[in-house]
Amino acid sequence: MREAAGAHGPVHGPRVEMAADGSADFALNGRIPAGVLRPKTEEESAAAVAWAVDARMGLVPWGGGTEVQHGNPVASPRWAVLSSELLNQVLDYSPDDMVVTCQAGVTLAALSERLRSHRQFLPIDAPHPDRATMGGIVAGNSQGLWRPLFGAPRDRLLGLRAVMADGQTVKGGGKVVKNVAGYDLCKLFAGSRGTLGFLTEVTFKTSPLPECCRHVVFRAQDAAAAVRAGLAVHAARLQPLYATVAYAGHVHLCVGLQGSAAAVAWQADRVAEACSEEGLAPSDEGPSDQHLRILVADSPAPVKLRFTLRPWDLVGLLRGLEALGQRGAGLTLAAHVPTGIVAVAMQPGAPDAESAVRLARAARLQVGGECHLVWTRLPESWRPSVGDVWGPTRGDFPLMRSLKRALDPDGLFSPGRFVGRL
Amino acid sequence: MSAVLPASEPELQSLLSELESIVGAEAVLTDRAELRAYDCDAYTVEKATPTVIVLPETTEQVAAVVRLCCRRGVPFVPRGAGTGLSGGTTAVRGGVIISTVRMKQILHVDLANRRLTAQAGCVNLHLTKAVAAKGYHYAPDPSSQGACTVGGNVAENSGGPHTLKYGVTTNHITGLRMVLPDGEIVGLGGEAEDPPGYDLVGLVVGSEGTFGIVTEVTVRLTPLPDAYRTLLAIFETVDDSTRTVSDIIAAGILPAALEMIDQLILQAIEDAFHLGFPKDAGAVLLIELDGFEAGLDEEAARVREICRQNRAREVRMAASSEDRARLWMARKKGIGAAGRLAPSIVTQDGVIPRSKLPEVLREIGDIAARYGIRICNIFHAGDGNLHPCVLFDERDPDEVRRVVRAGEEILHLCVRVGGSITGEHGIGIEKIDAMPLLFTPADLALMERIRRVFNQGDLCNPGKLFPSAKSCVEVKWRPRAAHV
Repeated sequence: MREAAGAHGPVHGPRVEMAADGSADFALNGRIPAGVLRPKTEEESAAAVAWAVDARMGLVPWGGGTEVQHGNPVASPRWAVLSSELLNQVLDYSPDDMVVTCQAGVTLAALSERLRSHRQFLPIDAPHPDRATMGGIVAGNSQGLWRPLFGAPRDRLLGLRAVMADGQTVKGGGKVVKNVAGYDLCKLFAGSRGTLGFLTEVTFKTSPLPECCRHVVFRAQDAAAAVRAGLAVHAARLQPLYATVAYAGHVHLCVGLQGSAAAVAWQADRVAEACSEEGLAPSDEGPSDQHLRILVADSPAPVKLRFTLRPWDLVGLLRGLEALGQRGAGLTLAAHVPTGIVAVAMQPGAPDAESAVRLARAARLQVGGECHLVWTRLPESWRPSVGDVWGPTRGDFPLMRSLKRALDPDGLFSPGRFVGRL
Repeated sequence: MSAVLPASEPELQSLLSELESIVGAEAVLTDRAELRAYDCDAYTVEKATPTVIVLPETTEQVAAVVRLCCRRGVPFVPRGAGTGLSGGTTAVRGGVIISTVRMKQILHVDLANRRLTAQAGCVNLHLTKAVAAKGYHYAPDPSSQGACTVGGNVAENSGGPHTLKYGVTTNHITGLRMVLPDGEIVGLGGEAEDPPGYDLVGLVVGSEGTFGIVTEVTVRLTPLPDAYRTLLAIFETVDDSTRTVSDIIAAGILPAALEMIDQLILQAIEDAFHLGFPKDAGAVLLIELDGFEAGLDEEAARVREICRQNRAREVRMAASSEDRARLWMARKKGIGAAGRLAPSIVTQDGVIPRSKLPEVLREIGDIAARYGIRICNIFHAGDGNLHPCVLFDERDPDEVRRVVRAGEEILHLCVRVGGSITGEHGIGIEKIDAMPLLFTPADLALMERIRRVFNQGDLCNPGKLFPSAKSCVEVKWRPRAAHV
């Protein structure tokens, strides 16, 4: 069954057909979309949006599908997936300017391959770069291990093009590394989770490939000691690529270093000193950087959480999470110390939904200061207990709601999936 | 937008007395000389006298002033130190200037978590001074950092010479407290990463004071580098220096700063500061590397070699922190020094892809020759952010016309080669007419829709950024009596 996507009456110009077969591959929260639209060009993307508006069909933008499950259920009885799969070209790459522009469906791996031939890279770390698309990475503001040194994708995004709910294609930013003309649409779209428009093109600033990379691992007696060692590395004003406490039965502190050979060697010594003072010993076992990258992302555990808080509040959070472990839940955890971001995978043992939710929230409250909790994966049966997976809305929510209403008044894009069910 | 009618004298007096009851009589400025001091920022080409200036001390006072302005239909304009270069704080429709100059406290310092919260009127450099002794700094360092406020930096998304490695203001702000144009106080972001939802902090940074008035800023602190190597490379020609910039980047070296100064400004700097700069050099590059001591000498040696390969006459290296400070003073005061070269000077701001530097600088030289004006260059070569300084005499109307047309041609040139119309200074009033060079009507309509989310009544900093803001009938809010 195929429906043609185009304007009313005789179709002039670009059109893209919605494919209903294979829709099961694009299920969200146990529901299957009416079909999948795969535009090949920006014009076809605009035609797809126009069709969805006419058909009164919600639209869920879909890149590589690596993070699309994060979110609340689609609040629309019918929706179609708008896939960037065929928007897969690198459009413009200037190694001299360290700027690259690509269509939104280009994968991080494909882009990295292209940049490597000029001894450059895009310092964005993703668990599955062969599937994660650049548009999806922007929509999720997804950064893996490398945030302490390289920030988040929103800090490297220079420009974009997107189709909006009114069918117009707009641009934001540009293709130069410094630009303050007009409002910063790049920041608006980064992390907006496909709720404001459909990204068709993105421009990033690249970095030179480093001379040297190192991954050093230390074994700790417990998570608190590992976190304290990570905080010592942070307080020593070193520049780790990452300093992540990994817990999967055993506890390790993994530190990544990047830069000139001399700077990496010097920092590695300082890291070893800081760890030794906290009673950590260098270890040959423990996760490699690749294992660390997928530790939580690839865990088969049905429940996943993400906490963000101030680095020094990490010890308090871990104490709170121990209560979950004591109730029989199997926990896998990656705590990125310098940025205060903790990813948790939970295999529920004894706790039922209600008590697990209560314990997770209690862990958050154990933290003295600011702490955000997002449920990034959960069984459908847990939704009534969890509620809005993004957590309670804050004082700035009315502004967010007004923005969504101004840019997508009819709730075309990913309705209901974001904070406050936007 | 609706035209705002001139107010009567009793209305004005009533407004003033209500303002006094909010901020106190000595925080309300109405004296003619005071009003003139606030009739423009560093973009002196366009001036507009405000009706009154208020100097609140707290967020609550700002909110009360804004609510009063809303009730009375009076425009209001936020103002930091007034060092802006695009007229962002000029009260084009009159009304109340809300100055943050008395909101300059540092409220909270958390070195362990690398966060600092300050009132918006706090001077940029004071943030760094508060934490430097412990080995941290607030990285964005515009040349005016000794005077400009962090609130102003937020409004303009300010840069400076170290953005190549350290980014711009928006990469260092995690939280804001602001008064919305209806007087509501709202907190955005915070101290932790990734508060769920839209990046409202990122959206407000660079919004040029058109979304409301930021009263408090929470910033990310950055460790001070352990060591520096600051080099001054001297070239016979501008072309040699621009090729050097490209080669340094192509070699995979990311300097903390990479600044270019051409002959005319070099001469002015030497006359002003007597640093032993060669007045006959075509151009100099100020190249700063920073990081851990380990490996820094090797990197400096590589940079030296690249300079040498591009026919550098000489490469000097700062031997001490005093040397380094002197080099930076010369750079940061360069435009001020250029002020001695002509009665008037206007500093342009445009961005181009770095690879186009040689051809663009040559074309700027051609533009200068064609219009019979002098243009000199001191700018952030590493990120393609140009600052052509145009030297002229504002008393000569014909020369002024040529300067304006040359400026327009330079902006067109920047866009033509794939750049932007502003890298740091913002649109303000100055570049409203140039917005269509970059943005389609659909792009502008989207931005205006976003602005209306924050600013329904168009009272907050009106007449900025958008061509449509200019096309409305310009009626200033002013008393009928000859008060101003």
